[in-house]
Amino acid sequence: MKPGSNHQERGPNPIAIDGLLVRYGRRTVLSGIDLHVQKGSVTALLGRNGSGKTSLVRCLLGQQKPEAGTCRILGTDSWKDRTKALGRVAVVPEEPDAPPEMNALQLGRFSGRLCPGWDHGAFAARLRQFQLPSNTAFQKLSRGQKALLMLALALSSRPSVLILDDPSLGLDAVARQVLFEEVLGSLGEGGPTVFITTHDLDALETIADRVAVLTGGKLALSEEMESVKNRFRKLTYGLERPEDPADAGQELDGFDALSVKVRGWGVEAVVSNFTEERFSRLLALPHVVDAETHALSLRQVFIALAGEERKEDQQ
Amino acid sequence: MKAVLAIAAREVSSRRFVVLAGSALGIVPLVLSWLTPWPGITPAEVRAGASLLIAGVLALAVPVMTGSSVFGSDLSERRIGFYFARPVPAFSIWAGKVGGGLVVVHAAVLASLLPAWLAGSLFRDFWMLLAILTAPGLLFLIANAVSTSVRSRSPWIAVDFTAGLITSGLLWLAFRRTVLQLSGAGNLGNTRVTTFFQIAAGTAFAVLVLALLAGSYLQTASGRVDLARAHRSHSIGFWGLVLTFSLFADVSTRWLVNASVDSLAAYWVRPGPSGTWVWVTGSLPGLRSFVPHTFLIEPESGRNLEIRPAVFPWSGASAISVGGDRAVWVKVDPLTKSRGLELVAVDLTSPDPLSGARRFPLSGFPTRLVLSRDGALAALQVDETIQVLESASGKIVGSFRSPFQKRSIHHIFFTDDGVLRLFGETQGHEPSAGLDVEILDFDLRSRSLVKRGVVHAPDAREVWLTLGPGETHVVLRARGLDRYEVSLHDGVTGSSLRSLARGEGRPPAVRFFSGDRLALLERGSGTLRILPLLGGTEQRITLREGRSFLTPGVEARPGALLCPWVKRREGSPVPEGVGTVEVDLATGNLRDLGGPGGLEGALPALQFHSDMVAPGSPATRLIQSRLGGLGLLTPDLRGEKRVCRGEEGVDTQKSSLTMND
Repeated sequence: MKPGSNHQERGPNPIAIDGLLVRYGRRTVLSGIDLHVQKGSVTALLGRNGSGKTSLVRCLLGQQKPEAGTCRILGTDSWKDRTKALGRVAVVPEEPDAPPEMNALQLGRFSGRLCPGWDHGAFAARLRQFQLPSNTAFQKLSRGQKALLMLALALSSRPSVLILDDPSLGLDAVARQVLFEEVLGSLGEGGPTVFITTHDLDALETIADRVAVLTGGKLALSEEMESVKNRFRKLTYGLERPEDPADAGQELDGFDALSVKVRGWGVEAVVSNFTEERFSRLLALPHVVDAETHALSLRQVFIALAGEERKEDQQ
Repeated sequence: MKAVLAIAAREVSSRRFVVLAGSALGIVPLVLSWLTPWPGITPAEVRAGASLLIAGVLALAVPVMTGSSVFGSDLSERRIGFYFARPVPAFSIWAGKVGGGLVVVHAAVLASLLPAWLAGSLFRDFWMLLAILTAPGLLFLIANAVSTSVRSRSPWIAVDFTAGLITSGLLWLAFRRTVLQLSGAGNLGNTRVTTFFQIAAGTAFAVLVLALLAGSYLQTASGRVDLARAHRSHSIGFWGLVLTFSLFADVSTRWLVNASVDSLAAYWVRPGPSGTWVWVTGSLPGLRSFVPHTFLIEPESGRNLEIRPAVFPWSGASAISVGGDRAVWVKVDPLTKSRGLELVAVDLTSPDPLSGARRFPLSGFPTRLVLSRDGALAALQVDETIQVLESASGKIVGSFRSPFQKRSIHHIFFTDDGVLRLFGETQGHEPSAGLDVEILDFDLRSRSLVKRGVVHAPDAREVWLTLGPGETHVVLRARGLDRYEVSLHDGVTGSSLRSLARGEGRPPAVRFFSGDRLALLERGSGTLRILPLLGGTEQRITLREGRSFLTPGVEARPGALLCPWVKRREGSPVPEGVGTVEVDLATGNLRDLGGPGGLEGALPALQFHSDMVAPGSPATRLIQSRLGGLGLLTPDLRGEKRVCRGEEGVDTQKSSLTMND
């Protein structure tokens, strides 16, 4: 579990997305999205490229008008009253978009005039901490430096909600680590609610306590990380009397199997509704031998879900 | 406000090099004037010319460069998201970026002018300064609109294109319609018309700026970070206002040029010789002298044709044949090559004369235009050339150069036997020798010019000629240094038949009447002298005392004159009252026609028309109120029907035409 988690069940959800529908022309990108992010939580939104993550973030930030549905931040409709909705929100965008000619100090001063609650001291401290050059124009910084500077800008406004749209895109391993460490550092009692989209699933595993997955324009998953890890499992077992390979997997009747692979030694399957009870029933089957259960990483869960999407795409 | 200033400052700061470049370029004219000898040009002129040239280039380049990137590049490169990811109102983003951009473009242009201006080498002209301040701003906003449209590559480009075509069409039609109508009756030089166009141009400019501002604001507020949506929002805002204005311009100009005879306030009335058809030029109430309309009306039947654009009220622009069967007029289109001068000829006996109208190009605006008795021939004087053409085909059947100076021709007309006769003024060799009026005939068959006679006016410095019916007689009014003489002459040879009056001051007004009679109005005494042309007893009628009579009046029924009068307080140029008196020539009785002497008193519409119009014809019975109401008296002059309403809905029936014996 992520350190310093301050997950609270009470109070209104800082982020509430209801019935979101986004279309580009005739193409539906997002449909019927309902997603509520609880106060103090770190929620990760996963999805393949083009799955609509950025569209969802744009709608959430009031930058794009949804075809239907609403996005609320801290109780305010972000399209109708963007200024109020973003009053206590900070954003780290997918593409660093600060004015290119400004250096870090200028950006700090500029942001201070645009954002209420700006903390100049915290910003200066983060520049030092990240070892960012203060007099180099933004456009001349490296990709990693830009991302860290955007994070410094975001955190220095002391936000209640921090939205990160694939902040680690294109960063090297060190920069990624620094970035996520800083996000982790910002969490804790009174820290912001975090909503993050990323492909960096390994890093997410350490900080996210809730995960949502977009597939086929819909939310395939939205639940606690713990619950995801409990119900998504890989099962392996052998078969005592090998029958027609086409019949392999019949034993998984009570499971919702995302993938079933027949190997030389037996069967390997990923299921999304693992319970000890179902596993016991599998064990009790006379021709099943050496049945084992394996926990899945977030990456493996995502690949399994994305694999489902790929199958659907192919169909 | 804090955010607006911050964003504006950032825009200025990011483009400060443009302003610096403007400042640096501003020094170039000074250096040029100091370093290089320029033959024939003073250093101040070099500075002014070079400075304006540089400022002109900057005024084009900087706004286009800045305007095309202020939103367009931020949108296409997704940098605009920096602002939209922060709690900054869309208005602040828009105002900051547009305000900052405008500061940059103006600062760059002004900086380039500043050194020369400080050196005193620039014209300190308000309009030039205004152009320098407004043109770059407008270009900046246009560049933003074009840039957003082009970068978006959305289907709304087609909408922009279509809306642009519709707007251009509507505005062109509105402009053309207005120019044509306002130019009618020679009205284009009218200061109110000039002011109208200045206001219209100013309004169009303001709407354009407003629409560009509204479009760019909607682009920011509604389009936000989405380039295609930004383009759509800009188009909706911009074209919404521009098309609304264009439609308003179209509808309002249609209203402006649309009039009926009844709704008109008539201020110029010219009859044809038979008095059946009349040219009436006027305006809609409230638009006096502003938007002229001309109708050719037949008062008795109420038939009318609207002549578009309105025709000039003087004799060179329109004519009706003696029989009242044909009419011609000059059409001017100032928006076409050679002003689109045309002669339009219509057959008034046709049920729809305008649909059968014939048009012939003219080489210049005629100063005189007359028709033959049957209307088959038209004669035009353009400068000193006189052409005769067939009004049905436009074929020129004769042309000659007038021996008289352009403004020395008194009369041109076709005689009964088809000869074109001219009365032209020549001056004696000595200034004291007086003036002669030569009578020349142009024979269309032989195409030769023959001198028929001369009217001598010894000692005269000014002469006026009044033609009698059948052109057999002509009255000469000649004024010398301090005396005048009125004499009757033969209409062909010009020989003097007898002297009618002599005196000092203004010569009396003269008019021919039926029964070979002539009326002279002695303005001082208010005495009307009725003289038989062929000799006989002179009749004298004294008109009412205390009133000044203007002309001998109009013969509104055979043997009865309608004489207009004016009453003034001593020393005051403003009339206290005007009105008309009916004079019965047989009995000498007078009868007041009109109201109790108020300002709205009716006057004969032809009171200043000198040519003889058929006695008792509808034209002679037209009466006109001071506010443009026009009424037609019944043949017994005791009733009236309204022709034109006049200003402010003046009811001529009640206020002007109450019959008082």
